[in-house]
Amino acid sequence: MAKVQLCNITVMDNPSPFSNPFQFEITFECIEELKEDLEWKMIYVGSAESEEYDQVLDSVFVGPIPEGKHMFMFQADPPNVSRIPENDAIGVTVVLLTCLYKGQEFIRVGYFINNEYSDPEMRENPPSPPQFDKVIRNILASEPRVTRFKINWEDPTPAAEQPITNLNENSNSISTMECV
Amino acid sequence: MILLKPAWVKHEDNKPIFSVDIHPKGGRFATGGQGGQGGRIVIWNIAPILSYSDENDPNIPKQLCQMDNHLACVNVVRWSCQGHLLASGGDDKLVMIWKLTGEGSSTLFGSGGKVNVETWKCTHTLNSHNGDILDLAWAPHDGWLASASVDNTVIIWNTHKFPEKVAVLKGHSGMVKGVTWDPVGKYIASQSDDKSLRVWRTADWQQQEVVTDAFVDCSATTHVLRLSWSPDGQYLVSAHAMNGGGPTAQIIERDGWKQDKDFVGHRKAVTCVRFNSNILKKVTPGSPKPQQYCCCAVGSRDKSVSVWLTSLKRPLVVIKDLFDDSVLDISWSSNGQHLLACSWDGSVACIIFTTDAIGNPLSECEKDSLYERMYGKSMQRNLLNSSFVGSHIIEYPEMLSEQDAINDISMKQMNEINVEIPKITIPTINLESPKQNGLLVASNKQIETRLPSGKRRITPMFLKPVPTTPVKETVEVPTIQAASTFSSSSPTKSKIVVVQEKVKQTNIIPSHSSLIPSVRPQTFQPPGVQINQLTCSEVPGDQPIVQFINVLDPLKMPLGQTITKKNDFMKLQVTNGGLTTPKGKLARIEVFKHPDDKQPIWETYLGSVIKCIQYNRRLIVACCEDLSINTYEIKCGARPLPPLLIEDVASALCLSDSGICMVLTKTGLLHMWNIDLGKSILNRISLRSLLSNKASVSGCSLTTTDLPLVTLSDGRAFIYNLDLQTWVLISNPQDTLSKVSGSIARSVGGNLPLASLQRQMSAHNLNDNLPSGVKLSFLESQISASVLLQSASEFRHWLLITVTHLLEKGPECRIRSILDELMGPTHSSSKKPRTDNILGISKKKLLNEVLALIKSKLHWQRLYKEYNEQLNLLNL
Repeated sequence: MAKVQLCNITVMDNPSPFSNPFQFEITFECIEELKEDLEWKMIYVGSAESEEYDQVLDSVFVGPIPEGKHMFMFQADPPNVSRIPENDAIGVTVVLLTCLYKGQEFIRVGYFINNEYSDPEMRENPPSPPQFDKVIRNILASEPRVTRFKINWEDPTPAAEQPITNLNENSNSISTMECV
Repeated sequence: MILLKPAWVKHEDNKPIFSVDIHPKGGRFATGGQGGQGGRIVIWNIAPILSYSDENDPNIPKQLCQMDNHLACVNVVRWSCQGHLLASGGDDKLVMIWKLTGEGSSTLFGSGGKVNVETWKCTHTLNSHNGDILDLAWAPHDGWLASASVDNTVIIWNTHKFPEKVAVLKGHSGMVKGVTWDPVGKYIASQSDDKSLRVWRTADWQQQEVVTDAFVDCSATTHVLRLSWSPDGQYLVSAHAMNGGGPTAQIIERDGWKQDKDFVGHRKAVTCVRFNSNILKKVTPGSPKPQQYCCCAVGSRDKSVSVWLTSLKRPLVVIKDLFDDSVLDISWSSNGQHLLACSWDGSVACIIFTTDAIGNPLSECEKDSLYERMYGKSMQRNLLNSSFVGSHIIEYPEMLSEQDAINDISMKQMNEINVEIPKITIPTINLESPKQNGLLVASNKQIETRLPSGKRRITPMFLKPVPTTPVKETVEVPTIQAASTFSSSSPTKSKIVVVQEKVKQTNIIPSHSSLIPSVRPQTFQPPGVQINQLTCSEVPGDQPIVQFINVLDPLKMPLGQTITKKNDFMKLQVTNGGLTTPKGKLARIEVFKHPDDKQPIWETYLGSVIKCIQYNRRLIVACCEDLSINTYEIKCGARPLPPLLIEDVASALCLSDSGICMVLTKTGLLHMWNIDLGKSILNRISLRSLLSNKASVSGCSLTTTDLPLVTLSDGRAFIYNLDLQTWVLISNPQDTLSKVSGSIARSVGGNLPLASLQRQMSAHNLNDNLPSGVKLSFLESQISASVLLQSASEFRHWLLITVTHLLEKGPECRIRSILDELMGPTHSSSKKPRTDNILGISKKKLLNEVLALIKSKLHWQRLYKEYNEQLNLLNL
C-alpha cells in the first residue's frame, strides 16, 4: 500500500489573472517515516494535442517526512506563454500535480483549467495573438482527477522488482481526460 | 420474512461487490469490491436498511467511511469477532487491517465532496502473499487471521503482532478460494480450485484431512469458494461440490469427516456458504424439549440464495433471481435475524427473519454447556488461548498453574479489547471548514531551502491532530449541512509564509553556534555535524581508494571569521587569523566563563590555521593545517600534551568524555590517544582495507565504550576491537544473510546503538521458504554485534528473540548452551572465572526471563524443569 495518502488539495488564489503564480496547499498523510524526500511536480498542459507542449512549471523536494499529517504550499510561476500554441491558449486545459518517491510516480492529480478573457467583447472576438494580461485563469477545483500508481516503497531488491502492470490502464484514463 | 434491496448500497457505477460483512455488534456493515479506479471498501450504517424512517431521515448518514486504498479489487472484508478491527484482502496481494480512529469526519479527496463520517485507518499492511487474496477468516479467539490466496497457500497471521506469521499452510495445488475456522479452535479448513477441501490442525498446522470425492467433477467456474463451519462445530459445509451431475454444497461431518449429505437444488455452482453464528432452538409441537439446530445460507452463481435449517430436510426458504448475476458473499448479523448478500451485479440484498421462522438463539451460557458436553473442558481452554498447544499433557503441576496464568492474561487482554470496541455513534458532521475538523495547523510558516542542484526543498508543516475527544455514547442528531459546502478552492492567496533558508555550504561557519551544556551530560550534543561527520562523495577514477580518501573534506575554517560556541557556563571562540602581526596571521582560541562575558578567562594563539576543533567538558582539541594536534584544558588553557603530529590532514576528529581522542586522516589512517594518561592507544591503523570503490566513509566516531566505529556509505559498520587488534564487522546490509533476514532488525527502536547502525537493513519480509537456520544465523550475528557495541538492552532483546526462535525451530543444543552460559559454571573447579553479569545485566535475571519464555511452551516443559531445578539449587 502506498505509504503516502493525499488528504486534500486547496487551490489558492483562484480564479486569478493568468500571470499570477499557481498556488496549491497540499495536505498529505504518511503512515511511516520516509527515508527519502518526496518530489512534487507541477505540469501545465499547453496543448491537448501533444505532450510536446507540456511545461514543467516547477519541481520541488519535500522532506523530511516523519509519520503523520503534513501540509505545504506548492507555488509555481505561470507557464511560459511563448511555448503555448496560439490555438490552445484560450479555453480549457489541464494542470497536473504529480508526486514521486525514489523517482517513481505514485499519484497524479489533474485539474481542468478554463482560461477566459474577462472582457465579454474579447470573449466574442478573441484577439490574435492572445493578450495574456487580460486572461483570467479559473481552476475547476471541485473536480480533481486522481490517479494512483503502484510503486515499490521499499529499498529495491532484485526479488521485489516487479513490472508495474497497472500503469497502462491508468495512463489511459489520463489521456481520455486530456482529450476533453 | 422481509426482503429488501437498498438501492443506495452500491459502489461506483454498480461495480461488482465481492464481499459483505455485518459488524458483530451490529450497527455497521462493510462491503468490498471495485471502486472508481482500484479497490473500494465502504462501511455503511445498517440502521437505514432496517428502518424505513431512518432511511428517509437526511440527518442519519448512510455511508460512514469509504477507503480506496487497495490498488485493485477488494475480494473480501471481514470484521474480527470482537469487532475492533476490519481485515480486507484484494487483487493487489495485500491484506489490510483497519481500525476506527477518533478523528471524526473528514472529506474524501478526489471523490466529489463525499464525506467520511468516521475515519477508519489502515494500521497494518500484510504483503507476504504472491497472489490475489480471495478469502479471510478470523479465528474464534481473534488471535489469528487466516488469508487464502491465489498463490495456493493460506497464511495464518498473529493478530497481536502484525505482520508476524504463525504458519503458512502449503498443500493445495490450486488457488485457495475460501477459508473457515472450526468454532472450537482445533481446525481450520480451506477449499481450493485443485478440487480439494483440506482440514488443518491448529496444534501443529499440519494437514488433518483432505476431502476430494465430492469435488472430482468440479470445474473452476466460481470466483470464490467460501466454505463455512457450523457454530456447534459438527458440520463443515463446502462451497461448489458436485453430486450426480448437479451442483451441491457438501456437508462434511466432524466425526470421521463423513460426507454423506449435501444441500442440493441450486442450478449453478455454489459460491458461498455462511452459517448463522447462533445455535438456534425452537419448540416443536409434540415434543417437550426444544429442538436445537443450526442455520445456513447458501449463495450460488444461479443468482439465488437458499437458507437451510439442519433440523429440516428441505430449505427454509429459496429466493430465486435475487440478483442479476452471481451471489458472491453472505453475512449474518450476530442476533441471527438479518442476512445480507452481495452480488457481481453490484447490489446488496437484505433479508429480515422473524424468530418464529428461524428460532431463538441459545444464550452464551447454554452454548458453553453445549460445547462442554460435546468437546469437554479442555477445548474451551483452547478457544481462549491461541498459544496453547493442542493436546499436550501437562506433566508438572507447576506448568498447570503457568498455563492457567497465561489463560488469565489472554482473558484479560480480550476484555481489554472489549473496551476498545467502537460503539456505533454518529458524530456531528461539520462540512464548512474541513481544516478545523480534526486538524490544527501547527504554524503557517513553510521553510524552504535551495539544494545545490538549484531545486527547492520544502519542509512540510506537521499538522497535529486535535486531542481526540472520546467518541460520545449519545447518538446525537447529526447535522448534515445538505449542500456540500466543501470546496477545495479559495479565492484568497495562500497565507503560508515561505521562509527561504540558504543552504549551508562548506562554509558553515557564519551560523555556527551550538550549545554545549557542560553540566548536563545527558544533553551533551556533539558539536556541529560538520566536525565529526564526513561529507564524502564518490569520485570516479583509476585509483579509487587513494582518490577517495583525498576527497574526505577536511573542515575549513575561513580566515577572518569568528566562530562562537556557547554553553551554559563557557563560551569557546575560535578565530582563524584572529590577530594580525607584521610577520603573519595567528589563529586565536578564547574561552569565556559566561556566554555574555567580554573578557576571556584565557586565550591562546596558534601559528597555523585551525582546521577543526572538538571538545568535551574538560578538554579542547584543535587540529591545524600544519598537521599538529593541540590539546588544551578548558579551565585554564594548559596543554596536557605537547602538539602531536600526524602525517596528513585530519578528516575526522572525535573526543570522548573520558578523554579519548581519535583522529582519522585523509589518507585513511586512524590514531587514538588517551589524553589524560598521555598514551597512544592506536597508531596508524589503516581502514583502507575496509574501503572499496563503491563504499566511502560516511561516519567515524567513538562508541560509548571508546572503541572506534566507522560507518561506510554502503551501510557497513566496523568497530576496531582493541583486544583482537582487528576491525570487526558489526553490520552489513549488503550481505545476503542480512538481506533476507534484515527485516527482523526493524523491531528495535532506532536510537539504540546497533539499530541506528542498521537503518539500511532491508525491510523486506523474511522469506518463509528459507531454512530456519538462516534466521538463526542472523540472530546470532546480532547478538555478537550487541556484545561488541556493549549495548545491553539490544543484547537482551536479541537473546530473547533467539530463544523464542530456538524454542520453535531448534536445535535444542543451542538453547542448552545459552542456558548453561547464563547459569554459569556450577562447579568451582571450572577454569573460567565466574561472572554474574553480562554487559551489566544480571545473568540470573536474564536466565529467569529465558526460563519464563520456555515455561510458556508446553512441549519444552522437561527442559524448563531441568534448568529450573538447577537454578533453585544455586539459589539455596
